[in-house]
Amino acid sequence: MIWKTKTFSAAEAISRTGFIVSTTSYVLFWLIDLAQPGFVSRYFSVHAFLLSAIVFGVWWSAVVRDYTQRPWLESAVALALGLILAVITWGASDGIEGYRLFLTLMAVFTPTIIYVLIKD
Amino acid sequence: MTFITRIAQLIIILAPVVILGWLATQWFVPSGVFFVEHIVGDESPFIDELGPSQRVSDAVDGEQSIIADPAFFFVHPHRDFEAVQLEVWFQNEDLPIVELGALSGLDPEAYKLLPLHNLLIDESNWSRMEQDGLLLLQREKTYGSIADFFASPPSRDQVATYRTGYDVPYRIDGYSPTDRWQGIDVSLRGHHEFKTYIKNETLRFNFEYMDMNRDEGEDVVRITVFNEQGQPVAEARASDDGDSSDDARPSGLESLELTAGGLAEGVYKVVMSTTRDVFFRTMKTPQQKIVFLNTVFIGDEVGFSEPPRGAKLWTTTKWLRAQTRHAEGVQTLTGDSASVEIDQPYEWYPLELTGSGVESVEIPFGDIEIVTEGKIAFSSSQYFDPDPAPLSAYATLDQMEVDYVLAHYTSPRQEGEWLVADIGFLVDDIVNDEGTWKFSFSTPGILDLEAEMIVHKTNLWFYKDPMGL
Repeated sequence: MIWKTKTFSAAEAISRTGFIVSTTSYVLFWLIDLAQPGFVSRYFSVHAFLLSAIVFGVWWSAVVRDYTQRPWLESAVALALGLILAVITWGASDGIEGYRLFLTLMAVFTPTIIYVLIKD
Repeated sequence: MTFITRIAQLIIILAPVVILGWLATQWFVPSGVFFVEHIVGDESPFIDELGPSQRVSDAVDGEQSIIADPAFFFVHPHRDFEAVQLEVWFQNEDLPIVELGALSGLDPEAYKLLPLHNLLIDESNWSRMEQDGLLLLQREKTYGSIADFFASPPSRDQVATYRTGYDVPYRIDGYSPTDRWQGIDVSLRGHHEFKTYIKNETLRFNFEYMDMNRDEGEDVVRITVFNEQGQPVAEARASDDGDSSDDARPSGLESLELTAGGLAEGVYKVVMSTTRDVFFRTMKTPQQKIVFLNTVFIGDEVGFSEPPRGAKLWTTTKWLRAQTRHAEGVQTLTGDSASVEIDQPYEWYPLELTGSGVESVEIPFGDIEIVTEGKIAFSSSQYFDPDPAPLSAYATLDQMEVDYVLAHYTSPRQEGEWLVADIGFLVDDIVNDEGTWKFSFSTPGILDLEAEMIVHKTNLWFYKDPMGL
């Protein structure tokens, strides 16, 4: 058997790194700011990392030559994102008791629904 | 992959690491000093704009005018600190005294005020000398140094003070104690402070009060006596009447005795610490000298006395402010030399007395708050002024008839067209309301003089232990 190392173009390597770093930073800085309000947001918006992730993501999708599907990983990420959104929604919907549970359930399933729709 | 690609990837990975490191230094402040500059009109996560909008102009080109008193701003420190130093850049041409205060107490609201600019001192042509932050003005140069002044101090009535004490004890010649009790039959609402004089006698006060239960919460009464060194020497306490609701059902007339024997001759300060639900209806005492400090709140007598008793007060201060909070409190205050109509609630009305010596002011009925920088007695014979006259925005040095001014004051420095004043506060002296500090400019007389104070910027240095988290 001959193993072949997968190679990337420079643009793909940079955009891929940019997307992963931006996404990771967005989650990390957002969680830090949640734990210590103002730690990040006093100086700049944590959403700058989201913008950067979108820019790198669009670039990466334009230059990627082939990709591997990882259904289990993708589903797990969608579910984890749904749980995070549910926690935020529950916290933010204090005061609208009648809709709180409904909105939280919507938040849990929204990323998974979007993932399924995109896949289809 | 090329070397350039690797470098680009490294930069992308390092960027958030560097940002996180920078944010950590902002948070932990390893140097021990955190600096914030705020030019009026700029947005800052640390300092809010000056307000309220009715008392300040719009900020234009880095300038904002304060046109009414008091104007304030909020500071939002991002972590714990031990001290804060403020540097205020401003212009002031007409206001006699400009100070900046930090909110240091709630219920009643109290500020620790420090001087920014004192035109009475800075524009005086009296002989001036300074040493270690203390400043001495002399009408005629008598003393060669501040040390000489304290070695052989003049009598108290020759000295005016500003933001400093004067450690020459006050004594009344020919004073002798009496056993005759006298009453102060005035409804005093909430927290009050007064001074009394003791010589070879027991300090005795009897307070009769009612808990009107208009606001929710317990209404504890604590009366504390402080000696001339500011040390507590006696205390009397009473707990709540058992009704901590806001049902407006008054308690009966409660009584509280305050007794302190064996006190050395001198002036004693008595602090009546309680909530606004508590109305002191009468005070009885054999003490002959009693003057209230700075603020009196003549309470309404609903549910106690019909018709209301009102009050008559005596003072030597020339400027008072009064307000009522209810339509029922609208009335006319009549002084010996001037009067003022309290036309509507929630508006402060100045009463400028022009006579000399002790003047009386007639208050027909209660629900009136009176604020002054001087002393207030409820009988002419009880009036005395144990403190050196404080410098006031409402009297010139000549009007005060003093020969010396002792002040804890440093004049602001000139930076181009701006005056720059530095003041500092310990964080322990500032009320921290969910991570927010309140600072207020005190500009007495600003409306009467139709004056303004122009603020350009405020620099803040926050200090902490460099090693502390």
